[in-house]
Amino acid sequence: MRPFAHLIRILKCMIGHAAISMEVLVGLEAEVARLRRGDLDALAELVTRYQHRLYRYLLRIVRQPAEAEDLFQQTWLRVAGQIARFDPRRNFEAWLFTLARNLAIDHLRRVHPESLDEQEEKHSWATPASLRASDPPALDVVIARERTQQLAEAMDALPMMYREVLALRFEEEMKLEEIAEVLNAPLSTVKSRLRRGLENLRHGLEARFPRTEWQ
Amino acid sequence: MSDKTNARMTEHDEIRELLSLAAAGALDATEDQRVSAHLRACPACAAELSSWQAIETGLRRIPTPQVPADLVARTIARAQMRFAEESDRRSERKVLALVVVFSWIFVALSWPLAQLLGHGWLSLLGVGFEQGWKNFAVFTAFCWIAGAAAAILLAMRRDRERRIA
Repeated sequence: MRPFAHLIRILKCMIGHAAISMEVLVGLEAEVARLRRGDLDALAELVTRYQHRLYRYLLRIVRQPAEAEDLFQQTWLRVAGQIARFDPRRNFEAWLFTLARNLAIDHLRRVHPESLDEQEEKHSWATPASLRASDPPALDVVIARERTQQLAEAMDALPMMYREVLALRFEEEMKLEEIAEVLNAPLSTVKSRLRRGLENLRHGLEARFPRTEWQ
Repeated sequence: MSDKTNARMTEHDEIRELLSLAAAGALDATEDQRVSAHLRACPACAAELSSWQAIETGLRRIPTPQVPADLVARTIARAQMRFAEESDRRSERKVLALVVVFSWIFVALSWPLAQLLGHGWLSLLGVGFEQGWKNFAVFTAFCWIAGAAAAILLAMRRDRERRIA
């Protein structure tokens, strides 16, 4: 009886998650449809929905908060301007990130063309507020925070082409097909960049923080 | 070194190259089967996979940077302003187009109207009208071209002012 009850609990959980996902999707589709009809409130809802993810992605690419803010605004202006041409059957998120990426790359070409080359650069990234300690945490929490900080620094030093793929996969949790759509590249290219990005990241970690063991 | 050892080493190297993608969940079904089969017999690769999994878990946990407090509000305000400008521009273009069409129609009707008011119905069929139609055509064409040129110059000026503003 106990395994049966356990199975029922798992099934309920899965149905619940699926229901929430459907609700999110239906909400998103409704907002996109309203924006296509010229409803500015829908734009406000979309901006609020994607603010954290889009800002994080743009900051990951350009590495300057002021530039990321400006590109954030430009991306949404472009969304509003081109929404009539958006095919509702397409993945809105992939389209949004494609627009953001194109704007970011155009910006980098104009302002920092050297950052698009395959060379490492040293940039500092402001410590997120969530990493600033308040109460003295447990040792394992300190170690975990230190590791994520090391990872953030190592990722920041990667060339843009690897940084963006890692960001889209691990931070935005996109599928490979979605990443291929954002990058406008074949799936094989995405896998290749993902693998080389991870290898470069690991080499960077081992070079900067040789005493850290990743197990 | 035997061929079997060479083949095993090549297989081992190939699998090692796939481990980072395996930890990222980025293998296709065939690659996944190959890697799983190899890992059952290779503790070194299994340990390497654990390292990759630790790195990738860490990547998923990098804190999200805080969005500036007023960024969303500024973005929405900018979009509203752009919408309003576009709406104004569309209205002005419509008004301009209506004015141009009205002026063309008015000019086209002005000659027969002038004849009608000045000399009555018969003069429309008279010799004077037949000889004067060329002058009328030139006059009409000139007015149309002048009207269109004025509309275009006005629109260009307004666009320039808007860009400067």
